[in-house]
Amino acid sequence: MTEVLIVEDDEALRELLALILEGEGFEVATAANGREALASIARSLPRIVLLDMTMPLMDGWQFCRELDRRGGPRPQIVVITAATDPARRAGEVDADGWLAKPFDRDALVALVQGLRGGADSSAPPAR
Amino acid sequence: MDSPAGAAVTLRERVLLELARRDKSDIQETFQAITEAAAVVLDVARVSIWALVDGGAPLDASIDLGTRIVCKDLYLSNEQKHVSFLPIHGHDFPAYLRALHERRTITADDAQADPRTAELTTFYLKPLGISSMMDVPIWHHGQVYGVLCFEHVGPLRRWRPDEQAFAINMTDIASGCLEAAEHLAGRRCWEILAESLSEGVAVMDARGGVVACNRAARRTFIERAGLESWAELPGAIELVDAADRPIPAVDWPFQRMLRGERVEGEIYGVVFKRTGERRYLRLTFSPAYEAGRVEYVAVIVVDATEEMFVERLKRELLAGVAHELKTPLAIAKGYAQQLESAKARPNGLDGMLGAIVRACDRMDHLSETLLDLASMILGRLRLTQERVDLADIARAVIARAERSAPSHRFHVELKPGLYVVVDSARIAQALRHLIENAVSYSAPGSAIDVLTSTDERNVTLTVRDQGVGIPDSMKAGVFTLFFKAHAGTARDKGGLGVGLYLAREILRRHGGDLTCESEEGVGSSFHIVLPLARSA
Ligand SMILES: [Mg+2]
Repeated sequence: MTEVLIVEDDEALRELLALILEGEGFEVATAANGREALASIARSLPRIVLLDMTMPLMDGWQFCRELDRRGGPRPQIVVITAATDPARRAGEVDADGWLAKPFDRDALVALVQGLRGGADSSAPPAR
Repeated sequence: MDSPAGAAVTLRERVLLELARRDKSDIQETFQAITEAAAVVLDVARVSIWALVDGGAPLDASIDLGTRIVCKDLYLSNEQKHVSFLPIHGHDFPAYLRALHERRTITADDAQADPRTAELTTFYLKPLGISSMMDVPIWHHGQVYGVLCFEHVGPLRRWRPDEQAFAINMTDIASGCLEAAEHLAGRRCWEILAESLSEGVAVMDARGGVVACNRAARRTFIERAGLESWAELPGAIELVDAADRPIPAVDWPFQRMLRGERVEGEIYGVVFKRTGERRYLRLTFSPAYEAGRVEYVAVIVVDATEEMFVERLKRELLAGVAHELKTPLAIAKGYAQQLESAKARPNGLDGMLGAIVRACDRMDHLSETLLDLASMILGRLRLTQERVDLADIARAVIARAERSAPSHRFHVELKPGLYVVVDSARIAQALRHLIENAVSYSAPGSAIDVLTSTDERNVTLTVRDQGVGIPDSMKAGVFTLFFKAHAGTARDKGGLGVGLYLAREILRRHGGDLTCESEEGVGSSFHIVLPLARSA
């Protein structure tokens, strides 16, 4: 079962994220844009979505809107953004956490592990 | 009404009416018409208009004997001609000047004996045989501008009240003429001012008609739209807002101003339907009210197209730089940290290191592109000039491309000895961009051809791919800054949309060019054209 869905249009970055998280023992799926991500979610609902915002075909904002429109359980969303104000980006799509590019490898792992743990316990999600 | 007196009244009325109706824009012509008509109607030998050049002192002011009295026109009845006369000076004729300053008509039936005019006798009246004078002040802005002089030659003449009344009417016409001239001069000043402005200015009425405008406004709208009149303008343009969304006619700034909204310095995009040209204009509408309703509107138009371009440049550059620069940075940093965190030397180390190097190359290329773009925008791009073989530049770029894009087959045919005088780093950069585009927009495994050809003057270096091609509708914009043919589609490969613009600019600054042929679904060819160096 997919734990983390990585949505990123840049192939090299997508592979890196997968490599890191798989190395930490996560079940990982990948998507190159919002549309592929929706299809992936329809197949298997992940706990966490790592979401790039700037993507062709369907960007991060459109993806979140579409996800909300479809209803159903919402995975936790972590925005990965190059924006100068990543917290605001995260707020725009009501995300559960954010990572600024270029991110720190260990911070990425800690954030994803924290969210997985947080979902199991009653601890509030990371913001 | 057939009595002689009745006929005279009719003649006077007719003359006054005619004079009142005439175009008074030329002072001299009007003065001549007045003196001539007055002389004929009142049967006077000499009728003249004099101006107090330095005078026209305010009421109750002391008399300035330095006043010069200048003859503007003198009509001689016998000779039926207009002549002039030397100026006279106030200090020579203080009594006369004082009388004028009392601002009443001087009727001197016996001019040589009358205390107000006697001082003119020796010098003026006697030599010219003038016996009776009637001088009526000409008013302007509540002051005496000058005087209308009737000078009778022959036996003494008694000036009748109806003649005095007629003379006063004539001075009223002269006053009207002065006012008209002043009005015209004032208007001329405003015209000069308006025409000198680089901003467009216009005055509209409440129905949207243009009452007056300057050349800049005409040029901005009428000439650009290829129109004859302002009335055609609304049908010839479309308005869009600063984000390029069309604005319905009910929300055009004029309509909003009529609804009482303020329109101050707002930027509108004006699309000229005839040519498709788009200009961004900063508009200000200042209504003038009469009895609570808009009577006229002053409109100020400032072209903000450049300003919008720079704004967009900043926005695109900031957003684009952030995304384009930080993604490869994230990759390089991530892999490096992943290698660090590995307990044992992981499998695929070479692949990771390769990814780091490619990410660094991307940043390197991007930073060069951005620096060149910034230099170009700031007008500071300096090109070096080296005599080099274009084939050498091409080979180096292709070698690097083969490393970073092993997915593609490069088919290279370069004639040696193609000497050009260029900034080789810049030319390499332009070529690198064309090859990167070819790789990005064609399928892995497909061929990319790099070929040269020459004529007497130029060498052409062609990069040809078998890729997605550029849709016909997009071709015109290929070399536009921030152009992305496939933005938002599955073929979007990211990027700033700067490379082709910059590549062509660089080539043009070398006296060359960059051109493009493309067919959607078949592929694209880009041709670098450079002048060959003269054989050394
Ligand atoms: Mg992206």
